[in-house]
Amino acid sequence: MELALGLLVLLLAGWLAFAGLNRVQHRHRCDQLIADLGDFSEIFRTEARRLGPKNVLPASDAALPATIEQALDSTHWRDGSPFGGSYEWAPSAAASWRPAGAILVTAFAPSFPLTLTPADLLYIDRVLDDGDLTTGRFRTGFNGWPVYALQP
Amino acid sequence: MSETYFASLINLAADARATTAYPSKIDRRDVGAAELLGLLRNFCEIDAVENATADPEIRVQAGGRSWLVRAGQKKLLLYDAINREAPGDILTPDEVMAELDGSAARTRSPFLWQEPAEMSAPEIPIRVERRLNVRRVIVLSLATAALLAGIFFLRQDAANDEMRDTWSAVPASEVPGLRASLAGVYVTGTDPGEHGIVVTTTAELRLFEFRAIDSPRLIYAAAEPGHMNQQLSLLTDQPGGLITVSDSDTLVYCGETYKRVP
Repeated sequence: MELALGLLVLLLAGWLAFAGLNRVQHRHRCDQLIADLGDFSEIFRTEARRLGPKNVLPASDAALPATIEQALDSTHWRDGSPFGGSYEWAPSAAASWRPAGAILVTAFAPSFPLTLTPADLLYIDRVLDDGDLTTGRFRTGFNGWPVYALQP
Repeated sequence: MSETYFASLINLAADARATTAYPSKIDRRDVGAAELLGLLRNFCEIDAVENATADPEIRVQAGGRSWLVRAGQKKLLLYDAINREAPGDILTPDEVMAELDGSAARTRSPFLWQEPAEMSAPEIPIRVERRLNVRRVIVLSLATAALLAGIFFLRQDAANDEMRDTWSAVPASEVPGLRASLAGVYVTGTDPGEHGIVVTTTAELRLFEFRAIDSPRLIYAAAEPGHMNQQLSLLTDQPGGLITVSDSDTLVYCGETYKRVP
């Protein structure tokens, strides 16, 4: 009886350790994504301040100025997000709620799949913003992919 | 060797030379070492058939410890009476005596040997029992904690699938007709950065984004028709989840409205 209980405890402990480890790893990837968005946002904001109020940030990824490119080299911008997909710059004109532009995570071919779940997105929103994916600076955009607006 | 023993002869005659009618028990107090050795030698020589049928044994207690002695093939088997599941030792009568008086243990591990006389007789079984009870409580507590934690984890995972609970799939017979009626291209606009959805007659969807110069960027997705709270919808395998079919020409996905291209 004791032996059977001991085995049961060991099995459950093993399963819990495995599930717990997966959860911790998953949460770590969410935190990494949050840190990345913070880094990128700061780089674009610095550039916007440098350009001054009469200048606007670039209209697409292809036209990023050398100063931003250089700053992004020291981040995970080109590595893609920890959940797959790639980081992307969206210009200010695309949506009214992000007048200063936004950082996107997209997963068009060939960088898909993007394995973020709704629970992950909500967790990120709670840390970065207001906990609501339809309001604030962090929202879901096309195909449910994350959009993080720059502070104007 | 002045130690005396308490010996119980089970199904054995008083001199341990023969078995007796089952069940019988003869208790002998203050048995000297020489006398006990004699009993063990007699028991060792007992007839094999009698031994097999009467199942005799000698129980010995001394210095707070108890043993069981059984016979077989002119040898004695010595068991610890408290830990009966532990395997017994096959010994000669002299070797059994050496185990009983502690001289054998002293020879084996002189540094670890503790005189049994240092402990009071009834203390040992109580301690063992207490230790076993504490172990049982710990094991049971761990099992309960692990089960509760497991249930907690499972409930958390189930909460993530909550959306599926209110989802009802369209009957298989209706799926082809429904797919055919929905098939088409839907767009939010045609400017760069606008989005589109191609609904096909199969389970595959194509989601795309217009670009200024290059061809649209594309992603393939799977979609299953059904009803979410009575509303006809397409459940995708994408982070965006549900595409709502507002009417035959309008889809709503991730807050954007897509109109069918005529």
